[in-house]
Amino acid sequence: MAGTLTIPLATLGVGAHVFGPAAAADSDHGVLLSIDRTVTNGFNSQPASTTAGYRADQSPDGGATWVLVAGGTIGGGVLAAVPPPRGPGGTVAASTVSADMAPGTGREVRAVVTVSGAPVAVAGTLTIT
Amino acid sequence: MVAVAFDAVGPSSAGANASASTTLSWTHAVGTGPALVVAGIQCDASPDAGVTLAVTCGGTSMTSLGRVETTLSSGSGFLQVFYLSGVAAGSPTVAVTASGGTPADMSGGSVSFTGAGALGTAVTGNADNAVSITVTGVAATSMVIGAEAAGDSIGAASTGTARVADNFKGATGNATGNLAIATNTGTGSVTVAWTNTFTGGTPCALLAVEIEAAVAAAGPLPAQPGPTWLRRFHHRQQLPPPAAVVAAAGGPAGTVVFPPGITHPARHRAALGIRGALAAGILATGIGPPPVPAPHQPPAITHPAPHRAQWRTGQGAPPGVVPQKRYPVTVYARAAHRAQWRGGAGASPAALPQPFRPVTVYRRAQHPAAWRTGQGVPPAARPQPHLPPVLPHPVPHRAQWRGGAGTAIAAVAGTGAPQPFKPVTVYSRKPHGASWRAGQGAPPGARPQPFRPATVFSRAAHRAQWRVITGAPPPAGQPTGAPQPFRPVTVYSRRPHAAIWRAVTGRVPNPQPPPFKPVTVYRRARHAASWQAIAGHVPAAVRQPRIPATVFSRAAHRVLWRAGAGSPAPPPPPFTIGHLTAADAARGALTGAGAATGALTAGGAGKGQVSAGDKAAGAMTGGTAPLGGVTATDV
Repeated sequence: MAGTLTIPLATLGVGAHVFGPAAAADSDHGVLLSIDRTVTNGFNSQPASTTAGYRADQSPDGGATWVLVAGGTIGGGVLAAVPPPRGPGGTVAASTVSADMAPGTGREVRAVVTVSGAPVAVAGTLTIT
Repeated sequence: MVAVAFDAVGPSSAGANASASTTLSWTHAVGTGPALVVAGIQCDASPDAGVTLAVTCGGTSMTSLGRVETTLSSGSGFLQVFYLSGVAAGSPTVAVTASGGTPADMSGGSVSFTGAGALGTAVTGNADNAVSITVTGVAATSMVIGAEAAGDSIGAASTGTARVADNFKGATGNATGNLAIATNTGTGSVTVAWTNTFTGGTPCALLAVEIEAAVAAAGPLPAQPGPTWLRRFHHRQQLPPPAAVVAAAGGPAGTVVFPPGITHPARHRAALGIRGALAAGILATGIGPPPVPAPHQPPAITHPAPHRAQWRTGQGAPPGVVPQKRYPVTVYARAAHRAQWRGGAGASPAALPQPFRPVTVYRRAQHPAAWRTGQGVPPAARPQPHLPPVLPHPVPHRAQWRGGAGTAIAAVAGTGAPQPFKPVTVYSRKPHGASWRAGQGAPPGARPQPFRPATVFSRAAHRAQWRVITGAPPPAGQPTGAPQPFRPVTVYSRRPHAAIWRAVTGRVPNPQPPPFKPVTVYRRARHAASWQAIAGHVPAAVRQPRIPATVFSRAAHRVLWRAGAGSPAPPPPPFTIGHLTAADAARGALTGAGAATGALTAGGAGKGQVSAGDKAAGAMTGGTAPLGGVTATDV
């Protein structure tokens, strides 16, 4: 069902970290995975060599198999946001990926964060819409 | 030829997007393979000059159809379309990797097609508020796919069928942030368009391309007759259709599918020749020996079974032969010729799925030259704290500002409040003195001057004309004007120059002799030493006769004489005054005897030279006269 799966603030070591799963209603159609870059020791305070892949998966079979919905890669360092007047300016606060899920019934979703380089503090949300 | 057909869209009609990420990936479910997958990506980065994209589908690199920058001059976003053909049915992952920087946002979507062959030439365009793009020369069996990236939300597809509509950033991107992909069919010019919902100068980038239908598999290639063919088959061979023998992309590698049986029509009996006819027990009329009339009948002849080679035509087992176990023959599909394959006519017919070997793509460091020119960020540069860009606006030129055309140009349109109007004080400039003196305008204090008619003097005729004619002088040369009164010309004789005069013989015209000035010459007394050398008294001084000095006029310079006739006059004699004569010598005390006495010897003569003191005394000895004479000093 539509809702948010919270990724609690934690320092994640190098490797893959799975958050979830969470059930999605048949009427749900999309997921949005957001990682907060501004937390202490988060990605904004990391060197560029610290990266993390983050992805939202869905499972049509109760978690037996997982299929990528959308994924991305976060790099360490401060990023400039779109400046005014089109953007808010300042620095980027979050990295996000989003896409629509494949339709189905009894779907589940999860978030996977794979850290490379060095441990990093991660906090975020997986929103099902 | 089968027309191109739409297969699927990935991940969905909403596309996939990411912000502040260097990669973006999604799943594309290919329904029917092999398929052509086309992916469109908008990359919103400022600046984007150093940002490049690489896309894979199922781990296989996709080929770029083109990159189109949006119209924003700063290069803050672009659209790029990739494709990959021969994608098997399944759910491959489409992965986009940005290099050279972290885009502010990316969004993408993919569309797969079946029956697709080659791709046409991509048509690109970028213009503000552009919402359509047209591809010409489209075949009826083709399909056109178009993509647009825009800085504002893109409307619904107005021409064609929308496949992807991902208005990710709306109006909050740098220059793009929104993506739309649509397809359309038709013949000739095919347009893909979206509803124009742009309200301002929205930067846009579009790309469209024709997806041509796959060329039908080539027909059986006839084998060329050769020795083997003639010896063993005696008929043309046919290769199995390539498409039929290739396992579907989804099949396991190495699977061999046997083609359907190749049926060869039975050869005509006539083709078998007489031996075949005899072997078959068939004797047609006119062929073979003539029939024997009844009652004599030829004995029945039993014919042996036909040769096995003839039974290989597949018409059952030869008689008398025990059917053997049939082993299927492995027939390998022959790969299409490279020339056909390179022609892009669809997927390789006999290409077997290869094991996936992911390609390692190394990030290429930017060239120093590119980095120095500011095109893109350096590869190893770490994101810097955001500092709002300072946009220095050049101060407008004074000439523009003084023009008074509204506010100063320094005020940047759209940023900052208008500047208060400051009227310009324009000072009149005093004309330069030189300009004034040039006569441009009346001088300040100049008063009109009285009119003075110009006096025009008639010019007298030239003397040469006057002298060669008699009578009145010729009229003035000027055709206009009244005749001038005759004024005879007074010609003065010119006195020849002295130099000319001297060049001729004759006397000097006016040689004025200088006035006579007699010179008094006093006899100089003998020197005391001389008197003492002789005996007797010193004779009394006798007044000498007055001899006037002869003053000669100065002869002309030799140079002048040489210019005339004759030789120059001889040089005048030395100026001698008061030479002692013989009488003077006789009257003198100096005699030969005296000389004999030794009073005046040669040495004495030498001693008796007139000294300065003698000259002062005015004495002159006889001995001194011949030695030297009177010098100018003496005089």
